Amino acid sequence: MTKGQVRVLAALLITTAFCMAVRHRRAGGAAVPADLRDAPADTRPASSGYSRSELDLLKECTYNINPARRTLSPETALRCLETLHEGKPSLIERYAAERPYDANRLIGHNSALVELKKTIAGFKSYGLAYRLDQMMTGDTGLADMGFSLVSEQTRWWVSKYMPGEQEVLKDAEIWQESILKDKEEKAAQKNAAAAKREKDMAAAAKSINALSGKSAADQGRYLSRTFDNASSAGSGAPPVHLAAAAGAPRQPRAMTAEEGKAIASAMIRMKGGKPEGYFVDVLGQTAAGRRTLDFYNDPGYAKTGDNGINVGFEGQSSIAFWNPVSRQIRFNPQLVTDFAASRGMTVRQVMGNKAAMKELAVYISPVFVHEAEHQNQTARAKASGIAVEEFKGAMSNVYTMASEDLSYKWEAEHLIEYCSRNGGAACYAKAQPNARRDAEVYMADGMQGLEREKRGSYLGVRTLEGRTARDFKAAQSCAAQLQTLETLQRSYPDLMTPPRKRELEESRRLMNTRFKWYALTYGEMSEAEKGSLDFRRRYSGS
Amino acid sequence: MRKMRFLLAASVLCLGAALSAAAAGPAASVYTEKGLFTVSFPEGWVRAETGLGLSSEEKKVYGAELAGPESSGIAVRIGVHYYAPGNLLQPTAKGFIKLHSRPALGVDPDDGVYGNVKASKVGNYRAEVFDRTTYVYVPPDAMNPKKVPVYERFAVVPVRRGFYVLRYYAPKETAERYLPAFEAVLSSFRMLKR
Repeated sequence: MTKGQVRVLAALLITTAFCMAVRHRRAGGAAVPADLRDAPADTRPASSGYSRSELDLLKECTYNINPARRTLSPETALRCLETLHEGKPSLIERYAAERPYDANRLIGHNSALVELKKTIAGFKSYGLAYRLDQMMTGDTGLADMGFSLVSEQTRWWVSKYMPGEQEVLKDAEIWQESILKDKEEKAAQKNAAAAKREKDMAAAAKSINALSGKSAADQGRYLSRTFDNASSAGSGAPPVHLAAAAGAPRQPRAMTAEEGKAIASAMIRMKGGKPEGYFVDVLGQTAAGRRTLDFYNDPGYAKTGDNGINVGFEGQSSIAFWNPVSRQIRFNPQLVTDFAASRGMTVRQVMGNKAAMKELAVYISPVFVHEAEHQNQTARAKASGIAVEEFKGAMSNVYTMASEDLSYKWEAEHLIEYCSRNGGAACYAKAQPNARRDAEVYMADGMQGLEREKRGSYLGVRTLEGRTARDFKAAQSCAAQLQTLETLQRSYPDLMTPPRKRELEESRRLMNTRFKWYALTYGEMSEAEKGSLDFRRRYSGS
Repeated sequence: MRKMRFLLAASVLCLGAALSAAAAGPAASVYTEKGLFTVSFPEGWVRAETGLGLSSEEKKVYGAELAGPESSGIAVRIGVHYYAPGNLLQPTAKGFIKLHSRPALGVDPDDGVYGNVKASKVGNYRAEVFDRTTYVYVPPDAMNPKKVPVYERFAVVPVRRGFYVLRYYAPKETAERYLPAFEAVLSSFRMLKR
């Protein structure tokens, strides 16, 4: 065996161990060992299928994330992210096919630098310290590049790229101890909750055993009493939209659970595999609405169960949310009580009046289009072969600010088209206020206007760059293994045993899901903006 | 490769500008949109675009938007953009002014205030200037959001081919404080092509 073969096999042994570890963890897994961090990043592309300018770009982007060179520029990083995915197939896709580890690092680490600058610019004090700690403790490639909440590297970086924020960083550093304490407390609470859950489960199992021999009615009564108050989100973490609405005052509940169920069912339900109800009539009048209905009518999604309709009303501080874990869309009951109050009616009176129910459907429909788009996003990601992971209660790895941008786009287009056909100004005057404001901003400034207005409020939602930084970090060790196997196959095919070939296929599949998500989101956003510009030209009359 | 070049070397060029230290810091960063314009943005402000969607070349709209300090969950922003002929966003300066100087939907139940469009100057360039105050819902998806007034000022500079837009966006509570930063941007604006 030659020295080269020995080196490749040794690398394979190490990367396999790390990749296995990552596969058995969720995102945010083990850090790559130091000896692997820099080795592949400085290697040049093996293929000659790149133009001179592409090679220069790859070099610049790779150098930018090498801590030894101490560039780490967020401006260069942003330029890299903007240009690497241009073309079809994009440079990053071609590079990933050849050198997945390096491509993975290139995207993940440059994304992390962009996210770091945005985070420092957008947060202060405890909020900033909390996020920096999250970003720098194995969560992204920032730790690989030598960053931590309190470190010379971070101070140097801020003084170089954000000199106006040095005081903000100092202030955040002061919170380090509190962050550590909070983390310890949370871990202790989590352990206590897990112990309690185990105890409860054991008690419930004992009780359920005791149910055998009782009547069905008795069993039903027991189970209702035991489980009906369980939170649908499970772990108690906020569902998709809740983080954005934290702190908003709650309104007294003025609609009963039965009324909520009846109204939800009247608005939309499945019959014979097709959606029907008041929403269907409203949605059928706009392109965005018909797109929503097409999703619920899609036989392919029906097979996988990803387009099931499960709507309802539940007390929340947010207007509505899609929960990808429980697969539910939930509206705030106050939507109904506000509507009823604005018409001088009670909820019961609205329910008994067909015209009022139709108007209620119009009022809530933009919110439904928004949440249905989130459901559609989850389904699209799964159908594209992306490994959708749900974690932290109701968040998923494919949920980013880009997901919100798309949902707001369809919501706004629905309201604008509906009102332009149904009374114009008078229609807007009666529309749900948040949806009307979104439509106003969208008409004037498009998707970027909405992003500008909302970014600051979605504190718990990562940008695409942030999510990429996190996910690609988690996939990094698997990418290293894939790259080693690819090298082995190219250079020493005799060493590719059947298990290694299987491993190569599996690694390719895993990495494709990562890049696919990234490429899919970029592609969707470009298509969405094209469509958005056409729409606004049509409806603004310019 | 994009035309953008973000040159951080600045400082000396802009110290004379009417930019208060409290509002924007003592220095500024020169931004050059190759072949189109240069402008000085406040030091330490960050690029606010997401990089998602269509590229500048595809839209034929070139420039940058920078975000500064935040209050009430909303960051102050200053943007400078050139809209080339045939761009996908707004074909004419007139259309841009029409869409932004009055409610885009034709009605504003929140009673936003829309100022008149006035002839003015940006440096030595002829411009149309207007402002407006509208209400942003914070948090955006809260059932009972706070309505935060946001002040915006626009300077639209028509040229033989296309037009430029210089835009200021700030929560009303801090709008006055950071207005000098916007005025300094206006003073520093130089076209490289007309």
